[in-house]
Amino acid sequence: MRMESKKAWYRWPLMAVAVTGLALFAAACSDDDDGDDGGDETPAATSAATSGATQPAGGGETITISAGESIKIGISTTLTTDAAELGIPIRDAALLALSERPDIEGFSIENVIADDLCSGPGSEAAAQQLIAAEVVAVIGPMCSGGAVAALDDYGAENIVVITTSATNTSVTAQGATNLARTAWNDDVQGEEMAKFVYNELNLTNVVLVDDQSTYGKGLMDVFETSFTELGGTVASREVVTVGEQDYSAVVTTITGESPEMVVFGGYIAEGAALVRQLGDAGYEGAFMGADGIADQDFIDQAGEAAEGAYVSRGPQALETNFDEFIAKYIAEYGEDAGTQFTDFTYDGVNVLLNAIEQVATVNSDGDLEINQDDLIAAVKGITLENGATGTVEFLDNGDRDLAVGAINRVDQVTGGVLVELN
Amino acid sequence: MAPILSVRDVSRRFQGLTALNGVSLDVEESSIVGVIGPNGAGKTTLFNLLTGFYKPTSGEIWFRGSRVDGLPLHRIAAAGISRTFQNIRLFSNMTAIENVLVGQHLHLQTNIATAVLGLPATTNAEQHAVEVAVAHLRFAGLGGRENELARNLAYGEQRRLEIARAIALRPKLILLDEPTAGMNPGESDAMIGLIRRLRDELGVTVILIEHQMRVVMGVCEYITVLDHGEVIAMGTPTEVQNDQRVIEAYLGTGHLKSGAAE
Amino acid sequence: MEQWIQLTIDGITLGGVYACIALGYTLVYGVLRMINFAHGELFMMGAFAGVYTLQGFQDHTSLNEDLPSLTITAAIFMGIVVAVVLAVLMERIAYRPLRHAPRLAPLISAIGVSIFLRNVMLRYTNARREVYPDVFPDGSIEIGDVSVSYIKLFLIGMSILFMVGLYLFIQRTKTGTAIRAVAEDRDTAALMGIDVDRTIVLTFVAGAALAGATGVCYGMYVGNAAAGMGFIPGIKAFTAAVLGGIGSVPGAMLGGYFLGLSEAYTTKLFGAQYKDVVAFVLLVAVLIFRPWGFLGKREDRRA
Ligand SMILES: Nc1ncnc2c1ncn2[C@@H]1O[C@H](COP(=O)(O)OP(=O)(O)O)[C@@H](O)[C@H]1O
Ligand SMILES: [Mg+2]
Repeated sequence: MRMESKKAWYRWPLMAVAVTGLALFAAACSDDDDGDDGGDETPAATSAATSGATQPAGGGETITISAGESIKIGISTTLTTDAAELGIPIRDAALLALSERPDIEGFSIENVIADDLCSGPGSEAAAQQLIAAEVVAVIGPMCSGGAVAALDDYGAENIVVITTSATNTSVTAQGATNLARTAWNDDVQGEEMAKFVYNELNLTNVVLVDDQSTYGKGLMDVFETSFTELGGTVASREVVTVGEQDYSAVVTTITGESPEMVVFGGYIAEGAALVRQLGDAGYEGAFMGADGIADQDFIDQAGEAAEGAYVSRGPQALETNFDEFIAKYIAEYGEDAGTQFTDFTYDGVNVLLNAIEQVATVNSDGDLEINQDDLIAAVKGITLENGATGTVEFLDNGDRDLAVGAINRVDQVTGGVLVELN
Repeated sequence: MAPILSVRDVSRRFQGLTALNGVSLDVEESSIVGVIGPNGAGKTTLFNLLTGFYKPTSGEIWFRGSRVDGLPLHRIAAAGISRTFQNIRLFSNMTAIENVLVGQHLHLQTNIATAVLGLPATTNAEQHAVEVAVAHLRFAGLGGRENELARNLAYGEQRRLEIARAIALRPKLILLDEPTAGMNPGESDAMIGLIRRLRDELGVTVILIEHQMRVVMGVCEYITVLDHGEVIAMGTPTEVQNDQRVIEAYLGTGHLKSGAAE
Repeated sequence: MEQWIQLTIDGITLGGVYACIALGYTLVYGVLRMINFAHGELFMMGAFAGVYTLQGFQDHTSLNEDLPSLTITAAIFMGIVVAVVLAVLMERIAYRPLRHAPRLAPLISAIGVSIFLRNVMLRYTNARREVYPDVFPDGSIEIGDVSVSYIKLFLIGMSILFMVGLYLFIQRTKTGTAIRAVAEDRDTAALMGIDVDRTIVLTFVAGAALAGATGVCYGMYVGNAAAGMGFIPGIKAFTAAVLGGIGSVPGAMLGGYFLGLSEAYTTKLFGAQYKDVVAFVLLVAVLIFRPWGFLGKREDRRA
């Protein structure tokens, strides 16, 4: 009567999934190999980006917005997955800044939000979505891996991109001309973290853990180089997998090395689980993370084990209007998300709006015209005074110019909150 | 006395093929009825209709005063009809006694919490169930084989286990689809004995499909003959054996006269 | 040496979680020949039910300090209830109407349910992790250099308890026997008077109860519940179920522990980046050489 198949029908689909998984892993490995010194990638990436940029020959394309239509600003951030803990406050900060300037030259400003999943493919998909929506400019992508992946897509359309949180070196090392970054470069941060651990804390034996993301791995790569140059020892490098929470086997491996400190490059969920389980396992050494975990959520999730953890908050301007910004943010959303990048995002949006104001002109038909090349130049050449993160200016490669008056802020978890060390 | 089972003008079509055509049949309580006919006559289809595997295309089936066609399988089982299969369908990865316990499903009362915790209430009920199951196995001549996996039993034993499982439902009517298929004469005789005991000792009404004329003539009180989905004859074994249409239907097959095993 | 013992304990901890989830896949596969890809989400929803229960006690009573055994039991109970209710609903709404559809249909439906539940929780939590109140006593047992925290012991113990409970349920109860009968031959089971639809629902209920309870214990162990938390454990548990032989209850348990231990050892030997590779290689090898898994049965030929 009922026919039963002789073979397990799920065999072939499963096999396909497993083999695809292995293939993806192999691809990821080979990526890592030539990605080690991001410089190698640059020529290819540059040519792709510039060929895109030069496509609209002769002074760049001009975007025309008919009367009655709005100026669309794209926001590429992470709204789902664990990284949304950072991504949603970024969106909120962007919306706050946009709400403060409802129109330019009488043209209303409209936001278009795309979820970039904090991943390369996700950020490329978000880019396609925003390009299709005909945005004038984009704030984002949120994560470094995503920014690197999506830059070519935006470059091909000559759309200016301001990332406010993707801090990996490779983001600005691509040579993309349409990019600016209000956040810092991890090269600086990784080196400063290593100096802090070696010189200030006098620790010489560490284990590095990263979450295998462009950001996390990149930061730990820089740390390793700098720390080793200073004379320190990296006893081992371990990784955790995003989306998992039980890292006991990694913890056992780490404690087997008896390091003085565990340094982590990655985001909140994984960092908190790691710290918590290190605590459960009786680990008594120090812990340091970076801006990816600089959030009250990290402390709440890690519990008591977070106490005493160091958190590098990156190179930051001494003189800022952070207090004024955060007051507005709290007034709007009820609480300080406590994340690192709300202020950088707020400034990023203001940089963009100022630049649009500079270059947008109303033509004889009453339409708004924005020349893409002019807009990119205006963003790159901007000086935003009194920003939430201080004065915002960019270097030629799009990196934030933090040469003057910047400190490398380090916080420590004290009494269950992040407290700035002096 | 009203018949226990009444099949009224039942037809069943599969796409273009009419497997049963206007079949009517009454079965008296506590009788042993045979259904015979050449291969493809529609005998198994009739059983499948009686047990709810298939719904009739038209017609009605009444059992113990209520209509059962269209009921879900488990409701028909609960009404008191159980069966065995032409191709044995035991729970082959379960032991003999577990097969019988599944058959007892409708009569078991266990409470999940007490069973998992092993409380006495369950243990008693469970013990009772096991005793009953053992008795059913003995009845079918499988004493001592309780903990053997069904698939490891010999062929004849598997046939008998199907019967043990079928009676575990405490049915009023039991349908046996070729119970002696593939058996040697010795085994067939034992099976005839078992079938008689179903009726004599348990009071169950029996309908059996059978090819071996020796079995049919030896055990059945009434016989219905199907051919091409239609009833071509009904009556006592002797009446049927001399029916001209029956002889024609069987012409050349040799079954009717010789009574040889297939 | 101590490190290997420690890794073995780590592997058993995670393996127990995989095994408990894997049982749900295997049970449902047994009766429906269908992979319930939303099963990991029941684990996640259980963890949320647990965290909200404990947070409720935290906010309104002092029971978390005074009587943690009560609040933890209540949390596990709520985890079971929520997972079970959802499982019944998903069976009814998403799977039963597709019982006779091509095999791919319920599979896609399951993926849909999974995405739906995950996104409901993402929305509800605004993508934040809900932190479990600190109800479980801190501390650990030390034997030589091997240290096992109480919470880890608790998780190991609970997962074993859940599995034994399920095993007894399947082997000894009327419903359990009915589930096994339906798994072997649905039509014949129905002829034995077993209500197949009801038994299928109860199968979902059993798997969901296990997933929900495990979700709460796991949530307490990692300290939080998150919308995405069911995804990877779900995939791993599914892998474990296939390794062990999908449809086989002891197979799911064996597969779970096998995978947990393989991950722990691989982490130490080659680094955590290779543990999934090893798992995939094992899976491929099993699919090639023994597609019915360690303890699974070759599907019968039957007409
Ligand atoms: N499920 C079905 N689909 C199509 N045809 C069927 C089905 N079941 C039985 N038949 C056909 O109905 C006829 C009667 O079959 P059956 O009742 O098995 O005969 P038998 O008398 O040999 O037991 C045969 O021609 C058979 O092929
Ligand atoms: Mg037949």
